[in-house]
Amino acid sequence: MKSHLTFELNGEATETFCEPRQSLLEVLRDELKLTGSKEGCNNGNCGACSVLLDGRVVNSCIVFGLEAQGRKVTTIEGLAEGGTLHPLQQKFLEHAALQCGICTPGFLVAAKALLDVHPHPTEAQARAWLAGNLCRCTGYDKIIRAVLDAAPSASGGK
Amino acid sequence: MLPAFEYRSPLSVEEALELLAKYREDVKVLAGGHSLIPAMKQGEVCPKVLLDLRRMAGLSAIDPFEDGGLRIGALVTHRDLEISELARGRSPLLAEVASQVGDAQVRNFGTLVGSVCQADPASDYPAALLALEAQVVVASPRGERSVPVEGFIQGAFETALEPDELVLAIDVPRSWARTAAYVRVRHVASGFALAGVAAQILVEDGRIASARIGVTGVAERAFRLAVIEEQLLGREPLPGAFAEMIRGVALGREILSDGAASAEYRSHLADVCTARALRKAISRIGV
Amino acid sequence: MSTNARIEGESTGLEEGPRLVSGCGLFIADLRPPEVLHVHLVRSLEAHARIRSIETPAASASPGVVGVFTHTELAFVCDPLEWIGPLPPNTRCPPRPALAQWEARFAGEPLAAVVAESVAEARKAAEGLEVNLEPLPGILEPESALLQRVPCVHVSLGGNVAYQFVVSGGDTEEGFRKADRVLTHRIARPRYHPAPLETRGVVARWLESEKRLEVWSSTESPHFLRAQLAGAMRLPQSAVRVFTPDVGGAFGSKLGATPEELVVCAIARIVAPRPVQWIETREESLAFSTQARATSGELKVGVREDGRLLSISYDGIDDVGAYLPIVPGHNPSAEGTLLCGAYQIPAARMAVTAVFTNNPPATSCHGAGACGAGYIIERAMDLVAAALELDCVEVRRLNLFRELPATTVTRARYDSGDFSRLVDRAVERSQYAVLRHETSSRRRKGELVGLGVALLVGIGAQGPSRETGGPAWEAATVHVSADGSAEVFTGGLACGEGHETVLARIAAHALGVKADAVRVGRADTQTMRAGVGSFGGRSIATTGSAVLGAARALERRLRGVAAGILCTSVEYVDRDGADFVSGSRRVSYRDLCLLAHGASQLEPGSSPLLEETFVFEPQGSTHPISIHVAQVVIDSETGEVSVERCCNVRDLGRELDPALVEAQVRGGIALGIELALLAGSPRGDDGQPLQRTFMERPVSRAQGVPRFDISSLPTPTTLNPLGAKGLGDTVTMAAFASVMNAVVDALRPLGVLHVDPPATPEKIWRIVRSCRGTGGA
Repeated sequence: MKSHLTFELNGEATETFCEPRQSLLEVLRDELKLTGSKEGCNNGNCGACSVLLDGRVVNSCIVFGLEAQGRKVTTIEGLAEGGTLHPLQQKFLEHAALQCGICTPGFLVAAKALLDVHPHPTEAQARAWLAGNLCRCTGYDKIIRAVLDAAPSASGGK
Repeated sequence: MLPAFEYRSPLSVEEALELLAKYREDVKVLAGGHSLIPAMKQGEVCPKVLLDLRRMAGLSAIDPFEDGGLRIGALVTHRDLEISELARGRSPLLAEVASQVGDAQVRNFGTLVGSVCQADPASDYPAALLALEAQVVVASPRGERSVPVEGFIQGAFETALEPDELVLAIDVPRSWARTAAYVRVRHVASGFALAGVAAQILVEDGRIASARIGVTGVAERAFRLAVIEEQLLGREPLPGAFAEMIRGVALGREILSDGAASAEYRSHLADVCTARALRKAISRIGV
Repeated sequence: MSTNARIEGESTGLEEGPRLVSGCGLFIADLRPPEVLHVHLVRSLEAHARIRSIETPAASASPGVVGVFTHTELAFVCDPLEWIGPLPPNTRCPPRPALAQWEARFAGEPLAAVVAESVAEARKAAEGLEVNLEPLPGILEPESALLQRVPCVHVSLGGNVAYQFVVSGGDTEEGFRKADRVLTHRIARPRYHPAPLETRGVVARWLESEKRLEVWSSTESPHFLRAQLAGAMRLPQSAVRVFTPDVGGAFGSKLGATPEELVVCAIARIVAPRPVQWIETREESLAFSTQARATSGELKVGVREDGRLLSISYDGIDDVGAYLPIVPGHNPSAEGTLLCGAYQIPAARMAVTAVFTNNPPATSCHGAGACGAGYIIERAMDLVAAALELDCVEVRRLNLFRELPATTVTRARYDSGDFSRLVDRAVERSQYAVLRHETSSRRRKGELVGLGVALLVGIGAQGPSRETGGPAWEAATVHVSADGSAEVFTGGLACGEGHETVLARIAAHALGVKADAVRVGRADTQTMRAGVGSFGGRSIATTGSAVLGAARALERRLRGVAAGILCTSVEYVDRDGADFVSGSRRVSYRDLCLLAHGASQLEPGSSPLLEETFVFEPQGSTHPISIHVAQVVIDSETGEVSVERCCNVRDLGRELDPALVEAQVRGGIALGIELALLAGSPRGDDGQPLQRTFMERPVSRAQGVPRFDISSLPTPTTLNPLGAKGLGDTVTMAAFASVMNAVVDALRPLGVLHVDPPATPEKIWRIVRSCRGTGGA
């Protein structure tokens, strides 16, 4: 039995059908074919599926799709505006803050939520905020540096 | 994808209670779902009906009581508690614990009430809720009742909740002590507490006038250190003054033992965290 | 013209970067072929059991199910996976079935496959499968595998030995006799799963009209996988095409072919034309997938009173699990050649017996070869320092090779580098003397604080093939189209190393064009017909050199064509930017490519196809070097270890892109710390995995990793034209060994000489407590 789901996805009114048992991640990937959000653990432990729900970062693998009803969802696909990368995306490239890249969408989304709340985070704040996102390649150092470096330009751009 | 279930999202407490009465053991209640959904994914629970509270009005607020207490609604997330001026002002201990639960993603969606209802013995909250002498507000067709957290949590993943009952909120009484602290040792993978101790102390005229200490993570259910609370009365709050009384605080209880930590180690950590929580709370006097 | 690509440079973003930061990376789970069917594997719950029966009717009748398969059904279309070509000496590799036939040999071995329209339906149907297993006694501890009258993991082998090797040089016994002191210690490293964030996965499709199998796999070695799958599927290799999408990390765990890949291919053949997909769950990955080998053994060091080592030996048992993983470059004895590390030791011997057990198969993750030996020698140096009450840096300095090139007594040849300078630099950058002083004063205040040093010599690119026993070469093709755009194809591909960026730059440099004129083709066995793979730190050194060779050859061809057009001979053709010039005459690069394809102006007999293939075979193994200094503090009440400082100095040869190298170095350090403090894959007494999610498997997180001081002192190797030694996991293992040394150093005042990894809180608390007597706090 599928339910009708309407919500705002990356700034656009979106409707689809989903089963109540489908996670938001499954709705995004399987129904809406947006595969930018990744499944890393399917248990809410790794942050690879991070999306913003009404501006707050959540693990979409342990949120039901129906929870998005009437709310705003932002995924990695919604970070860039037009053809222009978000400052965070730009800084990730400049700092070589990614290697295999599978954790990158989750980090970018979680980092956006961080900068929305703390436009100029300290290193400790950034590390604590991103503790729910696992990266197995970079040792986090370059990611943290990229996020801190993105802070002024990201907030300036808003 | 999870096994199929019937999804219901009642708009009122009455409607929710009707559904609970109808489906009883077959139903699971969803607030944030951050305990429930992982449990469903691991196949530990397989509800036929899922009752989603998120459309219900009036459960998302942190409300002040006139006497200085707080009512924390069933849909209040860890993050709400962490950033609420009201909660931080009136119950800094609870806000402190909330800020340490899980990670940013979990704090944004998981709820205090959901966590308490899950009754995970390694959850951080029960230590603080016991020290704060918090009450669980439960609704049923028979009316509302308040249950102390100490009695509500009955064991590992076991509560006093009847199948037709619904938790609406947790009431935290007016905090009589500004001197409080929570100290824990985390499981290296899950971040849950191997041992966590919350202490709050009232100091009057340079002496300890009242103390409440809750311990989580160590036994099947969180517990208070009533004996030590008693022994502290009338003492001077000097850091490190109580080392001799903090020996084997968890003795006599069924101590958890698993791949993460043996019973012996957990018991030891309970002592360490108790001493550290008291020290930290005392160090905050006058801050 | 300065706009042309230079071979070295700071990247301003990975070639692959823009798609990865935009969520447009295509990983195996992102592939959604139309009509795809999904596989769920039913696995053994017993570590060792006889399969009495598997009843499939109920599962087959479940909604959405297309088929349920056991060994019997798959036997019509596939054989077990087997080693192709000659086995390394003293090695036994029993065939590995797609699905277990008579016996299940580890908890998690696939027994049956349910194929359905969705993963959910396949999983649901699997609950109806009746699997009747008769538990058998098993071998869970490697030490017991060698006892008399114990069960055989593979009865047909008549014993549990998988392989044995002895690498030795000099007379170790004489060395021990002459030594003033002989120190011995048992040391061990646990098995663990490296837990890349992307699990494994495979998609396969059988094209009946073409009799061709197409496979997409998250693998480190597409050509090797093709060879294995073709063999088992009874197909010529030319009928199998393997594509590799973006790979989300591997660390050695995605090397070679596994039953899951074979199952999916076999089922694809049966259910054709529909494609079939299997994506490993996190639980399958952590609990049942190929892990890192465990090892334990006796370390013995003979040393003179002045601190010079005379002899070292390690006699160990490795646990390879239930099957020998079939991987390219399988060369366990390479580890033995590195037993002397950076030190001039007259005699050394490493003897390893690898045994089959009823644990999941295990291979070399994180630094094939180098890891074990490097850790052993670096623990040995600290044992010596402790016994003689010398500083650990001094002991190392005393024994270093003074000059390179040099060859160790175990015949490892180090062609370039300067160990003394690396040690000096590390001592200076870490302010080692200050840290030592600080350590002493903090100890006097009762803190358990320790300093650890490790100097790791690893293996980057191995070679030559006749010595390594496996293919050590790599091939690359560079193709230029009529419009001048260039494509690079290789058998090595990226698993998070930024290869596309670096390989494109190498080719562009050699062709004399801008980097953005070159694209690197995705790994595909059809466009690049032969190759070996990307593992063990070989990629830039070997694959990069192949790309350089191909691009240089093609550039010579272009000059030849230009000479014809410019009516001169080739030695008078120069480059001006991308253009070709001779005196005042000039032809642009683009026009040249167009003219060459048009062929009207080519010399008779020359080919209009602007393409060159080059195979590079290293004439010796490169040896990247890394020295790491770590400071740790132990919470004596809880046993928790915190790493406070990390300083790393490396010589990885020439660094073509320092930013990318640094990224890998930092990642390597974090991983090394994790291996020292967290990683292990414990199983219960019954062989059941205790880690199934990240709630049980500890991993490093952004919080808790210190800032690292890293620097480089590169000396180019002469073993390849790029001068690159490769990274391997030399840095990871240096960080790992130095943190373990620091933990032991912190516990030295309590009389501790050795701690086996991982240094978990409870283990350390118990050590502290037993050393201090009761109380602990």
